[in-house]
Amino acid sequence: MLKKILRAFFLAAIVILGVGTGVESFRSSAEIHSNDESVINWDDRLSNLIALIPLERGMVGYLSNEDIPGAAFDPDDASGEYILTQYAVAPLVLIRGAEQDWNLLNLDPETYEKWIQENEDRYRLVGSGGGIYLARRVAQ
Amino acid sequence: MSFFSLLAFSLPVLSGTLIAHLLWLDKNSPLDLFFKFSLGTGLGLGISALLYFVCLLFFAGRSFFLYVEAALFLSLLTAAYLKRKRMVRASSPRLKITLPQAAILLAAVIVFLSSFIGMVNYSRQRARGDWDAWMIYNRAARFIFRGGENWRDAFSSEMGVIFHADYPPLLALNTASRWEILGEETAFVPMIQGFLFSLAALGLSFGALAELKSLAQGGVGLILLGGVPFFLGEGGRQTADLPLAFYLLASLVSLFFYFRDRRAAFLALAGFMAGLAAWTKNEGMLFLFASVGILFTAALWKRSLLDFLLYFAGALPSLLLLFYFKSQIAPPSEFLGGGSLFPYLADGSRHQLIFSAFEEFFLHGGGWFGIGIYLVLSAYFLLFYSRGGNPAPILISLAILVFQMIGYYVVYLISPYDLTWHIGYSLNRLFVQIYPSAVFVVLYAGATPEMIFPSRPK
Repeated sequence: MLKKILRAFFLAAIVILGVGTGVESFRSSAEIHSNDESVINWDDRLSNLIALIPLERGMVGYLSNEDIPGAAFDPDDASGEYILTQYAVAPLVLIRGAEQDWNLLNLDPETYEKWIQENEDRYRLVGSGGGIYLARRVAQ
Repeated sequence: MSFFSLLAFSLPVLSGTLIAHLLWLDKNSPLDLFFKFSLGTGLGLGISALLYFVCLLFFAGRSFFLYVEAALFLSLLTAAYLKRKRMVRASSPRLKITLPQAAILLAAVIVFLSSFIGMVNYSRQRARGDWDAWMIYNRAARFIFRGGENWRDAFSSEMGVIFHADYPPLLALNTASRWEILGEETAFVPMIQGFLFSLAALGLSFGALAELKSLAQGGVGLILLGGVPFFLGEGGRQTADLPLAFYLLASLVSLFFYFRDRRAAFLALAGFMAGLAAWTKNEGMLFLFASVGILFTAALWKRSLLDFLLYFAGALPSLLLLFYFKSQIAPPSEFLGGGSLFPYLADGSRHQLIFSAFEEFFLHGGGWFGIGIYLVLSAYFLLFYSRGGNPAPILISLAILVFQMIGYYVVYLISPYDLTWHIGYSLNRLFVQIYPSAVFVVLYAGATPEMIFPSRPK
């Protein structure tokens, strides 16, 4: 008898808690913060530069603050931007560094200034705003 | 575009449903049709991914996959029509619903609707899914769709390890094939795929429990899946954990049907579903290895390899394609770095960290008011376990799930990543993967609400 009462109690608790949680998940779902804009904006920011890359297949370099010793960066932002850049340039494969014929630079102004002083004669650059550049390597 | 995206999934879903219908020709009540539709949704999406992969291997860059799917659908429709003509229709008994059943079903409907609408809301806010979706599945789908003949670049070894180009491609293939059919990339496709797998997992759990146990037990299953905080939210993230959870559940459900009806087709179906699990995510391979190992042991115990061979035959199509994918297309896994694993295995602090994380989740994760959902399930099993019936599928399923957990433990042990980060990033999702299967086995083994609240004869 006790077992039967325990079972009934347990079952009723699951039903009540399940209904409560279901309704709560519905209520809280309206408050979820959207992250779509970050994906769409990143695609849009890069689209002008990607359109200039004449490759249907191959590799594109990617240089960010993370790749430059001493440059400041937020690890989460850096990782997110790297992922979104690969997502945007598909079907081209993104390779770390600026050693490909075509390279995307994602640098803050200070880091960009330092980098360009050392590399100006090696690349032709097109900017897209927001610290994003397309760098085409010039044959030496 | 959302309507056309949904329409683009209709052929694989209907083809899968027709296969389920052909397997359960004698079952035609509305409840049975619901079960067939749920099972068939995942089955059809899995078959579609396999077929698209074969098409890419031989005819990459040519857009005729819609015709392949249409031909499959028409063949299955013809087979179903011919079988139907030969069958004598058995009238299904009229369904009588008692008051306790009605109460539980009403609660289940509330849980289902509120959770599902919650997931739709989530997806409206995050139409492009979450981090892993851009990084792995939708990224690979873009490569396949945009790359044409060069679709293999989706799995290039040049790509950063973070993109997991070695992951099995079921989700990416389905997304890319729908984009090919629609002629454009739309965020609705991976979103709808997530919905379909979520609905299929709920429907399969409900339908299988209703068929194998009782209607109210199906309702309790629905409440346990939709009414916990950690499970259904995964469906909106467009990642592979919920599809994998579906295939694990589908494999075990087919196994239970085999043990009840002794039809060889169900055992082959169980193997096929396990193969699709391996085609969905690396953890699915773990499930396949665990289930093959357990069934082989059971076969040795029984001194008959027939069951094992049927299961293996079912898994073989996916396994062969996966072998080709892993050996010829995908880069090696980051877990196979080539170094010695012994230092990892012998590191006591790693064991302690992993064990503590598992213990913490078991005791407090995913449930209500800080009580872990797996603790609730364990208590449910102990309190409701009812003798009678065939214990073999319960034992086999529990053994498979235990080996799956041991596999997760070992994977963490040899993880090349920072272990604290890796556990924090993925443990919850590992428990999501086996959750529908655990709920199903516990409820199958337990007394039903009808037994606890018997209806009085009028």
